[in-house]
Amino acid sequence: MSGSTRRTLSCAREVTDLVVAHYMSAVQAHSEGRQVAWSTAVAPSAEILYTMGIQPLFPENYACVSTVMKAAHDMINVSEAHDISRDLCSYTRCVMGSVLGCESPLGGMETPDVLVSTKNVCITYLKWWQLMANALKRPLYVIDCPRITEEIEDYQIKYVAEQLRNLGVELEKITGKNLDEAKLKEAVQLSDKAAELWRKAYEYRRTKPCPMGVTDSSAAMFPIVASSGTTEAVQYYERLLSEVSGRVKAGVGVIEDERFRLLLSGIPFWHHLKLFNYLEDKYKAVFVHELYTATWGITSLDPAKPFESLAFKMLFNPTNMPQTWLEEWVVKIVKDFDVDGMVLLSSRSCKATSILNVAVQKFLREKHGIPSVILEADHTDERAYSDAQAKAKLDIFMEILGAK
Amino acid sequence: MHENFEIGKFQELFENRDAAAAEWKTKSGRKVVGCISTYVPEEIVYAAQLLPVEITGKPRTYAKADAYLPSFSCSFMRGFLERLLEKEYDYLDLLVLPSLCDSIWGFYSIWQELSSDERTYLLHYPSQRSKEALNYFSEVVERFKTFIEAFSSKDISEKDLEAAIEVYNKNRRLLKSLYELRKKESPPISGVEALEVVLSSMTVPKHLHNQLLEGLLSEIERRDEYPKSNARLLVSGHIIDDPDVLRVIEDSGGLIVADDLDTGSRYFWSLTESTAKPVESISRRYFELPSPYGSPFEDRITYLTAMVKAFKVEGVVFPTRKFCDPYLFDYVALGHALKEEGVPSLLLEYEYPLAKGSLKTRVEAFVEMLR
Repeated sequence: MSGSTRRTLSCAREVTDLVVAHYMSAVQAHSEGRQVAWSTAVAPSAEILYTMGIQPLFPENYACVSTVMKAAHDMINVSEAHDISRDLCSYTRCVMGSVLGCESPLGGMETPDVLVSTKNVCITYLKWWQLMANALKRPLYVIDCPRITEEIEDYQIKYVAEQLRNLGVELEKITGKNLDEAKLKEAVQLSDKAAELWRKAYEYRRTKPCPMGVTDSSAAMFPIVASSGTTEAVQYYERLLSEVSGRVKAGVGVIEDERFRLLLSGIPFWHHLKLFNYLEDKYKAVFVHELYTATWGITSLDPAKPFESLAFKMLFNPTNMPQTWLEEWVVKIVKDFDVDGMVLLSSRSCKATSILNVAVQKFLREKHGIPSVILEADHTDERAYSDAQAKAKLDIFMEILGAK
Repeated sequence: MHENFEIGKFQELFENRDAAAAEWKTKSGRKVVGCISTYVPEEIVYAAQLLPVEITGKPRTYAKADAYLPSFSCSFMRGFLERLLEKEYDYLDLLVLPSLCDSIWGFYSIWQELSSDERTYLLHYPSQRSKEALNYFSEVVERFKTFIEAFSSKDISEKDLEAAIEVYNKNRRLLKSLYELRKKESPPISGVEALEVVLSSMTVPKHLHNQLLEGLLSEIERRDEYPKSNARLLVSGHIIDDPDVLRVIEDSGGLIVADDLDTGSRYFWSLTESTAKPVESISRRYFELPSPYGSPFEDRITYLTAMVKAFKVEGVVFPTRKFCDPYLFDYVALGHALKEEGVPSLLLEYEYPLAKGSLKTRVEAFVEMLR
């Protein structure tokens, strides 16, 4: 079972330092008289915020970091004592614990001057941001993002772009400086470049053996979440791409003797990332694609139309797209990446990424013959997780896939 | 006992809603549209001579829905899916869902795949309250009108819309008059009865409901009043599709004198202004509703606390179906705001089948604390 060596990407190991630097940059921003914004992670506005010198922080990432650092439990308890139901999003419960005064990693997130949210992933984005804005007594701007039922239409792009323009105007009132559209175009170009590089690195995962696994990509997605629109992000993904392509040339995979290739859906259970190692060690099964981490690379942006491009990026989010699109996407990935089976992570407290899993599993099996397994736990709240149960389910699944 | 017959009529209408809608359809030869009525501009549907009806989600079991939706998705949409799969809603020709929350979106995704026809319409409901959001919503409603025209094969003229607005506003005024009576020290109707009146308004043609309401209002003054010894409560929350939920509260020493429910005052409290541009007026009315789906907390707090004062409410109960995220979130803000005002509140989570015993115990303890 053991004895297999896992080769972590050096770019993935860098991320710990990048995370710390990211949270410190908000402290730095305040000391330089610049502002700090708390934004949703499938960011409507990172490019706009960076252009205006406002340092964005992403509470979802902070929840993830707190969970990996084993601090989430106490934070969650504080929220629940404050009437935030255990059935509500565990990211929310984690971060609200910090907002409500629980001791938390890196001394807590730097207090924002403004909050920006949207609903392109979930209604929780809206409600959670309202709770934070209320507790912190800071202004909240919401970008309304229509759900896509068929194709993304021009009138929808126009509407979201108009709101992003107005967001710029509102932020100008806070910073006292104008939004420089030439600078925004540059940021959009950088954002587009980072996404393209991330996509290219991803494409290399088609190779056998797969050069990048889920543990690496879950770390390596950090710069594109936190720093879209910056030169640093582009430089990071250039390094990543070169490392990944180097591996492919050398025929080096994440593990030796790769036997199974898996696709992941849902947010990783941050408190038990070792579950992925279990698959690699026991079954030589590697994740070659994750819908979650891929999300940040699926859109191309046109710097000539910065607001419209950013609007399109917001609308074109897998959780905002129709079921038919999602299904086609999965089927294509399974084919392109030669996937043997799919692991669907269900988080009891995350409806947006989880409530379709039962139906998706059924549709994939019945319509496309794709086998899958659902693991039920929670991405942040460890209490909802049973290691024995998760492993037992994976054992059965791997047996079905043909493991001895 | 004549007045009891009148009020009982509304209960009967609600309980027989499925058969009645199916019968209306056969007799009229026109179409029935299932809605989440509080957030769907019903005037448009009514103006096309279709029958808009509120959907409900109290199933006998979740056996069929379990194959598609997990236990932690909103139990209302799960229950509604179960009823669809049980073929209890075969009389619906169209389903109009406002894009309120993740469970509706999830349901929509699944139902699109299962129903394999174009009978479901997702109506965008804005998640913020700016001018551009209102303009966009007006455009959405205009598109919805075009869709309904094609669906019903009937052009909707401005005159049709104005007439619909008039009928709907009349219903709203009548319901408000009924609620006004609940401000009395001894209200003439209970919370359960008031809920049945509103629920029936959501499922029968509005002009008929108006006639019934006028009858009720002329009778009700003479009615035996409810005892003033019970604690005056307000219920706040989402769709309550089973009067038993409120019955449990009123059987436990509470008298519900007001509400802030989707199937209560928020359904009718504000009128649609009659202006030269009816689609805009209609859009504005639905856009401005205080709700968890895009209003700032303050809007809901203002509405709720005004109700508490106007109806001399002693305590607020939040009856909340399991896994309803938007209302669970709002409870945090509303509960705390009430506390600051010195108004006690109780979160009463429930699921079907109702665990009446434990619900009763909780309400009794709450009422005792008020006294």
